[in-house]
Order: sequence, then structure tokens, then C-alpha cells
Amino acid sequence: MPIMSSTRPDSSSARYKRFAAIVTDLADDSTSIPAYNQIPVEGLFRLMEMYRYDAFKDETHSGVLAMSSASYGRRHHQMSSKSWHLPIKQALDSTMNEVFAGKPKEDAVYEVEIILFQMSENAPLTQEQQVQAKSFFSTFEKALVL
Amino acid sequence: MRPVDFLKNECENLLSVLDQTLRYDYGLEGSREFYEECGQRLEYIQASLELVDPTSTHIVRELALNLEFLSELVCRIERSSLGEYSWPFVEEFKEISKALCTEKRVLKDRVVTRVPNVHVIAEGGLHTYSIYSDANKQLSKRRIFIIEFPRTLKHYVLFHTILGHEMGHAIYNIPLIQNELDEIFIENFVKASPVFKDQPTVVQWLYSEAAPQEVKARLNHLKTEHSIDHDDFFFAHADYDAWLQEFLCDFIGLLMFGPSFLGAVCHLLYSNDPLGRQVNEEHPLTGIRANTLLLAAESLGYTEWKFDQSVQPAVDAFWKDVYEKQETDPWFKVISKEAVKITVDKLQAFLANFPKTLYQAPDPENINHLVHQILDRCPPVGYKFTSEGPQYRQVDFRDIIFAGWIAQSQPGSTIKFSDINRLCEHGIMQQVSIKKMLENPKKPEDNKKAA
Amino acid sequence: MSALSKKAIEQRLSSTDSKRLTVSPILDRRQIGPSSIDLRMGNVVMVAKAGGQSHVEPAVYKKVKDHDCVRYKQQKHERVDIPFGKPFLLHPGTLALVPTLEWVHLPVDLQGIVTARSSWAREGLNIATATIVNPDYRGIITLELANFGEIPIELYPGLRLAQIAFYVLEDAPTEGYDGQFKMSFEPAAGDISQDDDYFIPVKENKDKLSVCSNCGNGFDGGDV
Repeated sequence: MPIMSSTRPDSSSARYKRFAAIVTDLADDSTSIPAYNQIPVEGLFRLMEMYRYDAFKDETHSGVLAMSSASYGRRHHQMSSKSWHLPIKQALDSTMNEVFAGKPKEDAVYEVEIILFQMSENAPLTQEQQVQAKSFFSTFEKALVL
Repeated sequence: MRPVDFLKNECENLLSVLDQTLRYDYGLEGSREFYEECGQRLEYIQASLELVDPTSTHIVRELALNLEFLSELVCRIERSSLGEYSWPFVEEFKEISKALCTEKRVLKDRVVTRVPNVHVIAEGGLHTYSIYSDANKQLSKRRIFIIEFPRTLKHYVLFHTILGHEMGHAIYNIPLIQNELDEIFIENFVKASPVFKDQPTVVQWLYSEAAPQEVKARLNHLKTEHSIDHDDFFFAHADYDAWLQEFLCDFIGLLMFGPSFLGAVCHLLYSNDPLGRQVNEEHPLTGIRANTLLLAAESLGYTEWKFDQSVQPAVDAFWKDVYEKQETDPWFKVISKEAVKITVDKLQAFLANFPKTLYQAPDPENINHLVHQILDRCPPVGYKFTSEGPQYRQVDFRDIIFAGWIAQSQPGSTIKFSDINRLCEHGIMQQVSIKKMLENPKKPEDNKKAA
Repeated sequence: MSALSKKAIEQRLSSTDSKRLTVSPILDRRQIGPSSIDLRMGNVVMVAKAGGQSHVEPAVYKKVKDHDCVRYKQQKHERVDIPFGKPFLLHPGTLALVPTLEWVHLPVDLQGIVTARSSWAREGLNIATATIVNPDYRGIITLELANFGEIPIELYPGLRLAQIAFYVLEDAPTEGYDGQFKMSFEPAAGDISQDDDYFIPVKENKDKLSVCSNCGNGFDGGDV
């Protein structure tokens, strides 16, 4: 038996909170984002895609033939990780309401995604996009409670 | 040392191990993309550790988990040297993988794509076929997919078709695809199944009087040993969503590799569950999967494919073997053939959007030629030498594998299963050289005529 | 014994009876010369590991399940897979075992002789020995490549490195070949001690064992 539990707690909320904080800062100058800081940009892009399609089933599978007897610790861990997205989705919902009040979800998601896409290309953001990016990601960061 | 300092130190260690991965050879596409991607992930963690408030326990823990995952990934890749898996199969499979697993993001007037990084490793165990993909929520710039083969089955390309199923799981993690697949599968399969339509109905069916003895015994064991009864079966033991995803991925495997996928499933799944009646946590009963796959194969017309009379008896023997796995007990009938047909037809239409993904009905003449080559103990390829000179054909590597399954069913043949696999693997490799020659604009005039 | 001409080779290749010769695939008809077929490099290279072993030891080739014997054989060569388009650098003085791309099956009345192609030989690349391919042999042919020149040679799978000529055997055998390499898929070291066990002495000095200290058939390693 390992010296400590191999069960890993889900840390997605903390991850996205950090991503949001970093991207808020990066929006000041999207033309010189270092390669390693494209990671939070891509991470948030993927999150927006999950949100857009409501496709949050994001587990890693154990293979076509994994038939070993149940490890109940693992099972409970996996069961609990199925709801990893709920606080994040809730935070996104509230951020959307606050920043894009009244705008259809599809349009609001598009506006955020296009900002992230431009950042991923190190392309400049317009003044309006900059304001929107800072507003959206800082609100999202605050909405994520650890 | 504070936890943050320990993690900084560990970053240095990991960087050193990452550098050491370059001692090995990872094939044509090499290691650059993987090295750069992992290097950037590590750089991100290092930069974060420099900035983090050491008392922010949530953030420190999150960075520690990222580092741990990255460490596992790097060490896995270190074991992925070329000599441990069947690279001729892998080269072909990678082409399909990349087409399928490229992330497409539709931004009104444009589509943004992100091509994944595909790596291959070999692991111990008979049943370790798997594809690990970075989850959406994981730290990554460019996604990494790791295809895992059983080390001992290195040359067994006939079994490698199992990876079609695993590819189903991998693409299910791409939000746009997940959305489409769910729509097709839930509407046409789940809702149409009198058993799988919801969790209570599955439980009712599992715990019914008509269930086979083996199922009852297992459920009784769960009750007496683990206090798991029908009320908490899907909470404490099994995973309903995972069961459903298995059916979906079986269909994707079948559509990708054709009858060969069924051949592999019938051999491998039953090797540690000879009756196909084990109740597992993440996989529905093997007997039900086999039945459902057979319905899908019939719906797709596979069982009606006709071949040359010298090959047809082997084809018939192949299907006879597969049908022997069919459960005739009415308890195993969980879905109608019509519902399966609608589901696979729609999945087929969806997968047709991805180049090379679907297995096409083979040319009987090709299959006839390939099977006879194998029986003659020659690697099966699209080549023969006639009085006219050399003749070439483009042959899909999946046709070579299907020919292998037919050859192994040939009545009276003494050729060993291991030799069939090696011949097919060799044939796949040789076919690549034929493809290179045929696609070469400067190919010899004689060859042009022959092609 | 007479050599097959181009016409006779093509007739054998297209024959459908027991006299059929298989060389698969021939990617270019020009591979067939006046009295031979060019052979291409396959996708595996076995190179003797520098520093791996002190010397070649015939005794370890006995098929004994002994740790040291197996280790000797496993560690003797480094096996490298080389997909198409990827180069392999053969350094001066290096011996590399390489399979042909082509799969070969000889009928029982033919023998093959494999030699280097002269154009490569002029660059210093030699097939170390003229390999004899026995009648009824089936599989890839192992080319023993050596760089006799002074500069490294870059090799790519698919290049035509060797050629095989065919000879009709007088009084051809009626039964097939039963050699150790039947259905050979990739190069491997041969059994250099096969059937010669009685020439390999039993060594007494247990303190000076080199590679095969516990071999079951009386071999105790060599003085090094």
C-alpha cells in the first residue's frame, strides 16, 4: 500500500481560478503572451467549449477490457469527480449574466471565444475586447469559490 | 523545506527526466512536439510556483497535482520507444487518430483546429489496450493522446483493432463531438432500449428472476460481501453512464474496423470472462455487448458480404465462431435490431465527416488475393507478379487485417495464429512502401501501367 | 547448376505451380536485372552493441534457459526500428544486420546467392558475405551490412542495397528446407554452435566466468 492515498481530489475550480486570473492580466497585451501562458488561454477555450455544448463528461477511461475487481475507493472517487463541473458551470452562468446581461448564450460564448482565439494567436485585442476580457475573466475568478 | 520549495525542486527533477526522454527514439514524427508541450506545461507550473502565495493551500495543492500528472505522463512517454509496439499498425492508426481527435472549434465564419500529439506505449497485461487523452480540464496547450498496447501482443495486429473502441472514448472527450454523439446515441439507442432507458429499469432487469445464475451469484456476492443491493447498485458499484458509453464505443470500433473488431472482441473479452456474464463496474455484460455488436454487424450488412468460393467457407467459419458467442436467452435481449440499425446508420453518417475513419466494404477480389497470400505464408499486400509484370493495388490496412481473420478461420489450415498476425503486420509495412511508390509522381512507366 | 536469366526469373515469378518463386513486393520492374533481382533495405537494423560483450562466445548459442546465456544474446545487438523516410547512419567498421523489404520464398529446386550492388560497394558498403539462400526458404533475407569506407553512410529503408541471383540445383531435393530461420520476419543472430557442441570444451575455472556461469550443458564461460 502506498505511503499516502493515491486518490486525487478534484482541483478544477482552483485551476480555472488561476487561469482566469492569468488571462485577466494577459488581456493587457495579447501580442506577447509567452508559450507557457498559452496553457491557461487554451484551458479556458476548452472550458468554454464544454460550456457551449454542455458537454462536461470529461473522465479518463480505463480501457475496453478492464475487468479487475472493483476498487471501491477508486469508484467513490470517480463518482464524486462526475460533478466536478457543477461549481464551475454555476460560476460561468453567473458571470455570463453579469457581463453579458440579456445576450443569448451562443452570442456571449462566441464573444469570449473569439477573444481567446485572438490571444492564442498573439493577435491584438480591440479596446472593447480588452475591457470585456478583463471584466469577464475577473468576474469569473471571483465567482469561483474554493 | 516548505511545500512550495519542494515542488520547485521537483520541477527541476522533472525537467531533467524530460531531457532524458530524448535518449530514446519515438518514430518519424519524433519527440519534438511532446518535448515542447511538456516543457511548456512544466514552465507554466514553475512560473506559477514563483508567484503563488505559499499559504494558498488550494493553489499549491492544485499545482502539486498538475506536477504529479505531468511526471506520470513524462515517465510513460519514456517507455514508448519504437521497438516495443507494432509501428506499421501504429503509423496507419495514427492517421485515423489525428483526423478524429483534432479539436475543431467553430467560430461563426471560421473553424479553428488544434491537432493533438499522439504517442504510443506498451504496457504489461493481456488487456491493456487503451487510449489516454488529456481531459479538457487538465493542464495542456496541445492535447496529448497516448495509445497503449499490451507489450506481449506486440505483433498481434488482428487484436489491435480493439483500439477502435478506445478511439471512441478518446473522441467522446471533445465537447463538439460529445454533443453530437450524445444526441445520436441517447435519442436512438438509450431511449429505444426497454432495459437501458434509465437506471431504475436496468437495476430492475439485473435483479429480475429471469437473470442468469452467474449474474444472480455476483449480485448476491455484492450484497453479502459489500452490502451493495439494488438500491445502490449504480451508486456504490457500477457506473450507468460508463456502461452506456461502452455500447457507443463498441459501435465506433465496429464502424472503424469492420468484422475484424468483432473477431478481436470475441477473442479478448471472453478470455477472462468465458461465459460473458460477469457484472462489472464500468462495462456492461460481455454477452450483451456481443449480442448488440452482432445486431450492428447484421444491420451494416457485414454478414451478407460475399467472397470468392475459395474464401467463402473461411468467411462462413469466421461468422460461425462469432455467432457462437451470441446469447439466446431472452434476458439478454436489451434492444431491438431496428433501434441498433438507426443508431449505427446515424453514427456512420457522423463519422463519415472524418477522413479514413470508416471501414468500407472490401473489394472481394482484394480479400481473395490477400487471404491466399496469407495461406501461402506470404505477407498480404496489394502486389502480384503476372506474365504482364508486377501488378499493384492500394489496399487499406484494415483489409489486410480482415484477411487475417478470414485466414485464421480457414478450415483445415495449419498456419499458426501468431504467424498470421506477423504476416499481416509485415504486409501492412510492405503496403506502405507500395503506397509510397504509387503516390510517387516519378514512378516507373511500367509500374504506372500496372497500377 | 545454372543461373536464371531475366526471362526465366520473370517466368518463375509469374508461375502458379510448385516452381513459383516469390519476391514480394518488387516495387519497380527495373529491379529485375539480366540475371538477378535487386533487394531493398527493410525497417529494422540490428547493430552489435559497442562494449556490450567482450567477445563472441559460441557456447551461449546453445538453447538453454540460462540467465547469462539469454542476457548475452539479448544484449549483443541493439535493435532499431526505422520507419520509411527515417535515416540510419552506418559508421565505418560497423556491422549491421538488416532485413530486406522483400519477402522471399524459393521453390525446392532453386538456390539464391545474395551479394552487394556494385554501386553501393563503391561507396564502401558491403554485404559482408555472399549469403546463400537455401531452397524452400521463406521469409526476409538478412543482409550483413558493413561499412568498409572511411566516412559514415546514411541509409534509408527502401533503398536497393543488394541483389539476389538464382541457381537451379542439379538433382533438386524433393522435400523442403528445415533450417533454423524458417519463416523469418526479422534479422537475428544465428546459432553458431548448432550441432558442434562437442567441440566446445567444458571449462573448469569457476572464478573466471565471463558470460555463462551456470549454463546447463557443461559450459562455464571463457577465460578472458
